[in-house]
Amino acid sequence: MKYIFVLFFCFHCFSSYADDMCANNKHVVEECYNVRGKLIVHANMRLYLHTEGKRLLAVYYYPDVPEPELALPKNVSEMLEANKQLSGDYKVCPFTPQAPGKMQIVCINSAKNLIQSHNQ
Amino acid sequence: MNGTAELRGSLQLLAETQAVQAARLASLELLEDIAHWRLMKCQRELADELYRYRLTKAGFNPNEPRDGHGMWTGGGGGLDLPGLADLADASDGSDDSGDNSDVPQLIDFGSDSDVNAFQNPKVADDADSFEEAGANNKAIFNDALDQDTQSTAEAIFGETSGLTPILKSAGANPYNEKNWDPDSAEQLQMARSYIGIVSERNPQVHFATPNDLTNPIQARIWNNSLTAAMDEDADLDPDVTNFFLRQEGIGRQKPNWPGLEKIISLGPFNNLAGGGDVPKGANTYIDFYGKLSTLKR
Repeated sequence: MKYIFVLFFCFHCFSSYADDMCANNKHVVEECYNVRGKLIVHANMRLYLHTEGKRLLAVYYYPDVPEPELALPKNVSEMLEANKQLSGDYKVCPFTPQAPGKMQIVCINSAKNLIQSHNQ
Repeated sequence: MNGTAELRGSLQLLAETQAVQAARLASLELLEDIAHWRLMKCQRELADELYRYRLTKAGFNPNEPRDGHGMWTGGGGGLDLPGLADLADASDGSDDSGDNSDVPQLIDFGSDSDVNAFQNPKVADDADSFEEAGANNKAIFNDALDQDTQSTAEAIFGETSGLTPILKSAGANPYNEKNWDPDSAEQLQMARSYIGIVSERNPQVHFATPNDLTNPIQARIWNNSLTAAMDEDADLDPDVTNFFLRQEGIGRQKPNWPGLEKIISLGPFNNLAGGGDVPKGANTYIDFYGKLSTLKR
C-alpha cells in the first residue's frame, strides 16, 4: 500500500510538472490563459506567438538560466526550428501585464495540437 | 405663311423644351450620383465607427499601429484594468534597468523601449546640431516611396531604431552625430542596409514607423532607414536569412536555433534603450546568420 502511494505521488509530481512549465514561476504576473496561434522564430532569432486574435506576444525563452521551468515544453522544443512555425493551442503565462504600447512577454506553459510549417 | 411660322415656332419651342428636360434629367442624375456617393461615404464611416467601437469595447486601442501583417505592434491596446499601469512600471525590466535584480533578463523583443529613448531630455540640447541634416531629410521625405521601399524602411526602423554609433569620447551626447565614431556610424548604416535585405528574404521582422517626425532624432533615424532601404550597393551574402543582436560579453551571445551559422558581424554600436538579454551598453553587435547547409565555406 505504501509503495502504491509513493508511485501515485511520483506520477502526480511528474504530470503536474509536465503541465505547468512556468505557471508557478515567480515572474508570472497574471493568470495563465489559453490561446490559439502560431509560434514563430522571427528573423531576429527571437521567439514570438502570433495569436489568432491578431496579437503578438513575445515568448520568454532562455534555456540557460538556472530555472528549468523557463524552458519550452518538450513537444514544442522538439518541433521548433528557425524559419519555421508551429501552429497550435498554447497555454501562456504572462511575465508582464497587458499594457497599451507594450508587447506582452509570456512563457509557454504547455502546448497541444501542434502542426509545423514553413514561415510564410 | 402664318401657319409655317407657327409650326417653326412650335418646333423650336419643342426643341428648347426637350433641351431643358435633358438638362434637368442630367442634373437629376448628377444629384442622384452625389446622393449615392454621400450615402456610401456615410455607410463607410458608420462601418468604420462600428469597427472602432467594437475594438474599444473589446479592450483594444483602435489607434494602435499594426505591422505589415496587420498584427498589433504592441499589446493591441490591452485591457484597461485598474492598477495595470503600476504593474507595468514595476515589471518592465526592459525599460528600467535599475530594478532588474529580481527579474530575469528579458529578451529584447523589439522596439517598445526604443520609443522611450527619443524622449531623452538630452535630445533637446542637440536639436540645433541636427538642423544641419534637415535639408537632406526633407529631400527624402518629399520623394514618393514605392510600397517595397516603405516596407523595408519600416523593418529597418523597427529593428534598429534603438541603436546609435558608439561615441568618440565617453559621456558625450549620443544623439549628436559630431560625437559619433565614424567607423561605428558606417557599420551601423551597413547593418541597416543588411537588415533591409534580410527583411526581404525573411519577412518575419518588426515593422515600425516613427510616431513623431518633428522629433529630430526620430526623423534622422527614419531618414537613415529610408537611405538604407534604397541602398542598391549593399551586398549581403545570399545565404543570410537572420540576424542576432547581442551585447558583447553580457547575456546570450548566440541564438539557440540549430542549422544556422554566423556569417558576418557588425559593430560595436551603442544600445541606448537596452532591454532583456541585450542590455544597455556600447558593445552591441549585430551578427548575421545563414543556413549551415548552403554555406560556401
